[in-house]
This record gives sequence, structure tokens and C-alpha cells, in this order.
Amino acid sequence: MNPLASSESGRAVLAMGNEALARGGIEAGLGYFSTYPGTPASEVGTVLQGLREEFPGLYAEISTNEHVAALGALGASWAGVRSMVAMKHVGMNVAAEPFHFAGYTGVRAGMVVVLGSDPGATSSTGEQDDRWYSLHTHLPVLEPADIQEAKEMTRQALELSEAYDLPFVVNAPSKLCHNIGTLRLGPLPERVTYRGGFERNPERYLNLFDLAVKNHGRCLANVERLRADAGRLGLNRVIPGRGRVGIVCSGLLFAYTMEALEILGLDDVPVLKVGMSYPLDPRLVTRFLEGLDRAVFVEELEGFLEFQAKRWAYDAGVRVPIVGKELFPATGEVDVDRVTDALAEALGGRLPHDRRRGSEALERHRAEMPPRQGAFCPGCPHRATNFALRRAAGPDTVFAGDIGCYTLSVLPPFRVSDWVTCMNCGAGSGQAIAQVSDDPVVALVGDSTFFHSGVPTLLNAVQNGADLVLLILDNRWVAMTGHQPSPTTDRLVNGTPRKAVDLVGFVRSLGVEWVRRADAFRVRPLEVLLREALAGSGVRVIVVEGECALQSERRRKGALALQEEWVDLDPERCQRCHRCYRDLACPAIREEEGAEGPVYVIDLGLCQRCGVCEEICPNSAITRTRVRRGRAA
Amino acid sequence: MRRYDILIAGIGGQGVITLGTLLKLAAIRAGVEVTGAERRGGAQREGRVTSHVRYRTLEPEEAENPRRQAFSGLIPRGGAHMVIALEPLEAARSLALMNPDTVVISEVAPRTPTAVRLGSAEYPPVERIRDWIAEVTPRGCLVGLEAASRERFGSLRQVNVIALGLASALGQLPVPDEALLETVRERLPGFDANREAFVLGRELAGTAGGSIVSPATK
Ligand SMILES: Cc1ncc(C[n+]2csc(CCOP(=O)(O)OP(=O)(O)O)c2C)c(N)n1
Ligand code: SF4
Ligand code: SF4
Repeated sequence: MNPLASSESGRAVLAMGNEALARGGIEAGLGYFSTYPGTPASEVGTVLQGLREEFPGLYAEISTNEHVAALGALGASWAGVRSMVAMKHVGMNVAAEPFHFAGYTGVRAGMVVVLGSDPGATSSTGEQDDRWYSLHTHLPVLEPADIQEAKEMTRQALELSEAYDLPFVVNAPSKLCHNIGTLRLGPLPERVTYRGGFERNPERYLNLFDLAVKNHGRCLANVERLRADAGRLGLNRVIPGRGRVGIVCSGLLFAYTMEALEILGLDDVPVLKVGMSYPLDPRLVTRFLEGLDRAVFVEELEGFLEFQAKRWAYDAGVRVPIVGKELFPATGEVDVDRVTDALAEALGGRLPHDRRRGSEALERHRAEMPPRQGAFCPGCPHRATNFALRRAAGPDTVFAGDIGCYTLSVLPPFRVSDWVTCMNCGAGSGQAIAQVSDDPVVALVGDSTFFHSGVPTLLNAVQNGADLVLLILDNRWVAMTGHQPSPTTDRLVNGTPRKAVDLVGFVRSLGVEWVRRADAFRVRPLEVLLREALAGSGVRVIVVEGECALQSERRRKGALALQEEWVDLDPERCQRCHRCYRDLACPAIREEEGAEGPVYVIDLGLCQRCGVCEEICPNSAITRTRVRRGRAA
Repeated sequence: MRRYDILIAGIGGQGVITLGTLLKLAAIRAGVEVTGAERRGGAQREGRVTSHVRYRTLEPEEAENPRRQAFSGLIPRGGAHMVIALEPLEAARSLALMNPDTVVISEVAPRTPTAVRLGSAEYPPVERIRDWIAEVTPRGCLVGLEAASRERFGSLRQVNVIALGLASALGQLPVPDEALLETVRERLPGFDANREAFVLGRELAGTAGGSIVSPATK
């Protein structure tokens, strides 16, 4: 059994931050869950979908996009079922519209929004701080500092949501979502409402004219009620100290601050740990500031706490000097080392020299360390498509790339993406470039991204007669975020069939007249087809099919490979033209020292037998052989 | 407070995450508190992947101290008691976490980054990487983990458990070998080979002896 389903209260299990968030929901009697996957929050969905085995009443879906997911969670709450919706920080932009109404209508059963944020943008195209949204959505924000708090606060958020009639946000940065460690379980609820019923409530749900204005007022009143009660909810905490300089911080940065103070041997600094950063408790903050000579705000990004605290301090007439953004940059991730350096500067104290030896050595030699970028997996269909596109496209082609595993096409050797911002950015802006210029535009979009936000754009291009080539890279999965099923998944890894969208038929139904289907791994025919598409006009769509190699490998392992295949590179025939090694750059093709200089070899442990290198080798040096055995006939 | 912090570094697909999970599950089994952040680097291959493994034991008088409650997942600069790298360049990139007492166990065989493959950068000789580590700590060793696994087991499948054996011999892990091995038995297929790999790791540690050696096996 999944330890996260255990009813043994007090038991210590190993859990990821995302799993702790999910368990917090379970302990609060969660009945409905929706998500659109996104790093770092994707595993919240993986876990809750898995937990349906142990909790058969639990509803958990991967939604088409965040907008749909958010409206779904609100609907479930109106039907009296406690709900959770999870997404990455930029998902908030997609769901912003529903969230701006959620405070107006309020909730019936508790609702929690789990946001995985990504300071430093280690797995995102932006590092926005979603807490600022709450200044206008008015959704309260809780910020756990570690795995244990991630669970406690999620549970509490669902309870408070009901008490204050507002959905609550739990904000978890990537370093917490992907923190894995000891989690102590709490008790499971005795009864959970998995089935509810809608109750009509026109005063709240029909936001028309003056009713909208009235509900806006009720939302603000709920926030003020929560603000007034903040002192007794136990979410914020002062760690007393006799020092005259104090620290204000929240979330993970609290954990970093305490460790930095320990490293610097500063055990007397008073610290205000903010657990609820919106609405901020003005009494607590001003009282804490009042007793100090100076306050240091340990915060990353634009400084949400500092911004609010200064306002409350002004109102209360408190004039303590505050430093925050002077010490911590408004961009990039703040980690324990940055906190240590900043506090050493602000409070005095020094890092012992032995602790700096390593970073000094790294600085001395860093320039000699080549960077390591990600690459498509061996056997990835996107590599094959990129290779064909690179060859078919002319020098003036504009490459409208998008977000997904295929974003790697921005990197050498392919470079077939000219911009990356939000989902649907490729065709979205590409069609307009085609409208106002003679540039040939080729847009790339993954199957999941297409259904997330690409459909209205394609329809728009058709209706307005754009000259656009769109490649829908149908790898059958939402690969980038950990292989969730997508609308085109027709078979799960264990072989279970699944109802999939007929992509070609769907595209045709939008009015696209030129639609072709292609096999990603047959790069020569694909190249020919691409040339034909590029020579045409109007909207031209190629659905490029080829399953994500990681997923087909997983399935093969489960299904007892009946056939054995080899791919072999003959060094005698190889002219070292580099086409496979550099232009295709499959990681399974390696360079090794042979008896007469370097040779290319195929690492059969990594090779997925996709056959692309065989097809592109101009010297017939690569061969695929297949042996069937174990089956008569 | 007693801490023991291990950084595991490598590239996507090498098993960095699995190795970290084994070390953490062993702690749960042994009743030691553990935490640590992972950097996964997307679904694809070839990018840098790390797993921080942080063990701690609070002294009784610290149990109620609010300054010692939060447990962050990041090893601070110079704070690693041990670094396990499954690729030498990734060991070098982890220098900042090392201090003069850090035990470093690194694979010696390079994996070529794309930039090197495309001819736009050069891979430093492993002897240089060995020297960089030695500037910080005398307790590093570069070992042919992959070569050892291939030689004894005919595949790379045992690399991680060999590394575990080395770690158990060269460091002062707060989790006993039994907890590690029980975790391996529970989580990985082929326990007989894995037990043998663990012992092999311990033997390699004997030849590595805590000092830096050139490729232990060719
Ligand atoms: C608004 C928003 N939500 C979620 C994500 C995370 N995300 C990035 S790409 C992607 C979809 C990838 O699937 P697909 O388009 O099918 O491409 P693949 O990775 O399978 O190649 C997701 C969910 C995001 N970047 N932005
Ligand atoms: S995970 Fe799948 S889609 Fe992504 S790079 Fe690997 S093979 Fe390609
Ligand atoms: S067949 Fe060639 S291109 Fe395909 S995975 Fe194997 S080595 Fe790479």
C-alpha cells in the first residue's frame, strides 16, 4: 500500500513536498482534485491520481488546462465537496479569470489552490511571484517552510477556507515541492463527503451588476475578518531574541534563515516567521518592528512582505529602518548561501574559511567546465522532426517554437525555435508575423499544448487566412512534466487502451484543408513533406506522430520484448561526416578512441532502435538487424 | 545537533534520484530524520541532476528550540560531508559544497556534454578535475565505477550500489549497512548481484584508501 494512504497517525514516511501537500488534502477530507501538470507541482496530481486506489471515492483529474481545472475545483466546492486544484506558478495566469471571481462567490466546502513556484526559473520560462495576485484576487496565501508544514498548512487551508468563505492558496517553491524527507502523518478523517449536491445561491453565484459590487464587498469583508483573527490562528510566529536587529521572512526562506544564523553563530536574533503572507497581520508586524533598531526582510523576487509591511508600519507611525531589496536581488533564487552572505553583511558574523575553500576553488576553475545542457532522449521523435525540419527549411524561415520537451529545439545543433515565452506562444505570434510579412513561418506545438491553448489559435489562423505551417508534434503524452496522459494518448504504459482524440479529423473540422499525417522516425519522407508544405500557402498542418521514447521503452519492458534488434555502426564504412554524431546528436552515438584514432560507436544500452541514424547515414555505415524469436510463425 | 550531509550529482538517466531515495529510505528504516532537495532537470537526458541527502539528529535539549525546528533541503556551501558524483565533471561542478573534510567519491569516466560533441567546448582532462578536488579536500577518489560494474556484472546496472558500498566504507553514514542493504533489497531487482556489488564497493574503497587515485580499473 502507498504509505501516503496510511491511517497510522504519527508514522514517519519518506515523502516529497508535493506528496505532503497531497496528504494534507487527504487528512482534511479532500473529495475533488483537478490539475494541469507543470513543474514543480506535477507530482501533486500523480500522487492523488494514484491514491484513488486506496480512496475510491476521491475524484482526481488531469484537466485540459488551468482555467478548466480552477473552475472545476470551484464547482465541486459549490456542490459541497472539499476541493484542491494544483498548478505551476504560470498556470495562475491561465486561471486568473476564474480566480478573480472565486472571492466574490465564495466557497461552500473548503477549496485550496496549490501553486508550485519557481524562483530562479530552473524549469520554467518565468519566475513570477504569484503572491502578488492576491492583492487583487484576495485569496489568502499560506507559505510552508518545510515538508511537515506543507502538509499541516494544506490541511489547515481547507478548514480555514470554509470558515472564511474564500479559497486559500498554498505557495510552494520548487525547492520545497522537490524536497524529499521525513513526514509525520496525521490522522485520517472519519467521514469524507465524496458526493454532494449543488445548492442554488443566486445572491452569490450570479455576479450581475450591483450583485457583483455587493459580492466584491463581501469578499473584502471576509479578508478583513481573517486579518483580524490572524493573531489566534497560529500561522505566524515570533522567535524571540535579545538582538536589536530583527528578521522578517516566510516559507522556505525561514528555514534558510535559521540555518544561516546557526552557521554564523548568531543565536540571539529575533525572527518573525510569517506563515500567512496575505492578508498580513498588521498588529503582529508593527509590534515586532517597533521593538527593533533595524529590520531585515529576507525575501526573494520583488519583496511581497516588505511592500505590505511598510504600508502597515506607515499607518501605525512606526519608523524603524527596513532593509530588504537592498540586500536581496529582485531576480533569481535566494538560497541558503545567499541568505548567509546577506546576513553576514547586515548583522556581522563571518563564514568560517574552511566553508569557503570549495566555492573559491569553483570560482578559479569554473571557466574550464563546459556547460551541460539537456538533450532529447535517444530515440526521441522530436529529434527526428527537428533534423528533418532543419534540412527542409530555408535560411529565412521563422521558427515559432513552443513549450514542451520540444523546447530543446532552441539549442544547438537544431536551433529551430526563435522564441519561448508562454504556452501557445509559437503559433500565437507566428500567425501574426505571417500576416504582416513575407517570412515563411513554421510553428511547432506539442499535443498537450495544442489542446491546452493552441486550438483557438489554429482556428483564428484559419478564419483569418494566415500563411502558416503548423507541426503538431504528437508524441502521445505530456512528456515534459512527467508523462501524464494527453488527449492523444491511446494506450497507457500497461497497455490499457484509452479513448484518444482523432487529431487529423479534429484539425480538418476546424477548416484546415491541407492536413497530413507523418511518421516522425521516417525522416526522409518527412523532409519531403515539409518541403511541400513550405512551398504552399494558407494554413498547412502536419501531424507528426511518434511516441515519446521513454514511454514506449517503459511499455516494452512490461511486455516482454519478443524481438531483438541491433543497431551497428561499421567503422570501416564510416567517413566521419558527423551527420549522426553532430547533426542528429543522438546521445547513444558516442566517440571512442579506436586503434587508428577516434571512431563512432553506438551504445546499445542507450539506443532505442528508432532507426533514424540508419536512415540518414549517407555512407550506409549504420545497419539495423532484427531477430525474431520466441514465437512460432 | 549532529548532521551528515551528502550531495549526489550526475546527469539525467544515471540514477542520481534513485541513489538519493535509497539513502533516504534507509534513514526512515533506521529512525534517523532526513530531508533534501532534488534537481531533476526535466524529463529529458543529459542535463545536470542533483540530490541532496541531509541526515540530522537533534540533541534532547534542542527538541523544543524553535531555532532548530525547520529543516531545509539544501546543503549550504562548504557543508557536505560527502559528495558522490556519477560523472567527473559533475564532481567538479560540486566543488562549492566541499570542505577539507569532505569525502568525495566520483566516477572517473566522462560523459561528453553536447557542447563538447559539437566542438564548441573542451572537456578538461580528469587529472585536472582530480587536482581541483585536491585543492579543497585530500579525501577524494575517482573510481571506475562503470568499468567495475561492467567487468563484474556485464552491465551498468550495479553502478549505484557499488557507489553505496564505497560510501559506507569511506564515510560515517548515520545509517547502518543493514538498513542500506534492506532498502536495496526492497527497492531494486536482483538482490544477490546487488549485495555482491555493495561488497565490491567496500573492497574498492580499500584500494582507494581515502586518497585520490587515478582510474582504479581501466
Ligand atoms: C501555463 C502553463 N502550464 C503548464 C506548463 C508546464 N508545461 C510546459 S510544456 C507542457 C506540455 C507539454 O506537453 P506537449 O505539448 O505534449 O509536449 P511534450 O513535452 O510531450 O513534447 C506543460 C504542461 C507551462 N509551461 N505553462
Ligand atoms: S521524454 Fe520523451 S518527448 Fe521528452 S525528450 Fe525524452 S523521448 Fe523526447
Ligand atoms: S537507432 Fe540511432 S538514432 Fe535511434 S536511438 Fe539508436 S543510435 Fe540513436
